[in-house]
Amino acid sequence: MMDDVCPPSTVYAAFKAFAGTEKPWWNTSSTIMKEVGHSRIGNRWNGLASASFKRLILFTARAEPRLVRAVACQRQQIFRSKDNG
Amino acid sequence: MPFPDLVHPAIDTYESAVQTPADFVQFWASTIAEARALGGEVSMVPAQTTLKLVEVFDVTFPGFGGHPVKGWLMLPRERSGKLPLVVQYVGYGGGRGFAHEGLHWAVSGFAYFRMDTRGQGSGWSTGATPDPVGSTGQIPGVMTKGILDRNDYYYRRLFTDGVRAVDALIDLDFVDAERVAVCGGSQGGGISLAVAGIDDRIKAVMPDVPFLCDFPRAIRVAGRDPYLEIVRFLAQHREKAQTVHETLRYFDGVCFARQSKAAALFRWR
Repeated sequence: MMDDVCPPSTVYAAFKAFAGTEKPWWNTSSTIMKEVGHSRIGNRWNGLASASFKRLILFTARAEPRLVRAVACQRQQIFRSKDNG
Repeated sequence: MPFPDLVHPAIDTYESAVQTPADFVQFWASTIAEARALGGEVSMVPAQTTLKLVEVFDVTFPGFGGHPVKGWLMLPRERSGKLPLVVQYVGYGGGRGFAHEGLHWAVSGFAYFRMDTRGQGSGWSTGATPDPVGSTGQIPGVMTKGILDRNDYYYRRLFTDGVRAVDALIDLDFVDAERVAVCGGSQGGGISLAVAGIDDRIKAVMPDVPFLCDFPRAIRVAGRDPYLEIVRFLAQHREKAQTVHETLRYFDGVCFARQSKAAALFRWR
């Protein structure tokens, strides 16, 4: 079902307004959650990071967003340090 | 199966028709400068909880107009060095909730702050921050509160609160100022986009189905409130449509996204 509170096209419009989204990364909840479940998330997100992951939009109808977000943040270089993250 | 309001191939080429106002950056720079010039104290009082792994502080900081704004700051009890900071804003009608809610970020090793939403916090979670500013007549809700004047619009105050929350926290000795992210769902996503567009200290923004984006289209296709508050307002004030749209250009997530250099992680459902 469409999110009729925040119409998807309006969300996409904001996403696309970011510079650098000419070739956005797309993904699906089923792909990510499956890989979380199979402990393959590290490889997946390492791949995104090595591709200079800068913008990502997720189509997630049922995914646990906090889990996905946490993984995404932790994989970004800006969140890396020797002590934390 | 998701059923978007636009499908391929139309969605591939869709871009918002919203034009960023020429003085957009100046408007927000002066708004934030005015708020900062008022100063004010930040208070952090340890909250009484039974949590074993997380410390919680009841924070009050000066927001727009110096008005006191509340929030919960959560820190992993065992920590060393500086922590990345995640600031979360709350969805429409909600407030900061209770001190023991939303522990995910703190138990993951982040400093986490959940900002209260002025004048809301009675819909689906509790809040403790009033909005002590009057405005012109409005539809029930806050979407049209002060909408006839960009300087009086409710979201000018709320977005300023969002930036001032970062101000209150970023220089604390346990916060890594180079690793600050903002996030939120729906209205919280809209606020996070605004803060990321105003404040270049923000390194990452994570809007979850952000609200307050692409207003001209949103009020045509949205099926439910809160966007429909604007529709009902304009049904009674048809001659004000141009004024309303002019105000909304200064508060549109599309315009903020155009300004931001932060990494972005969106969710769409």
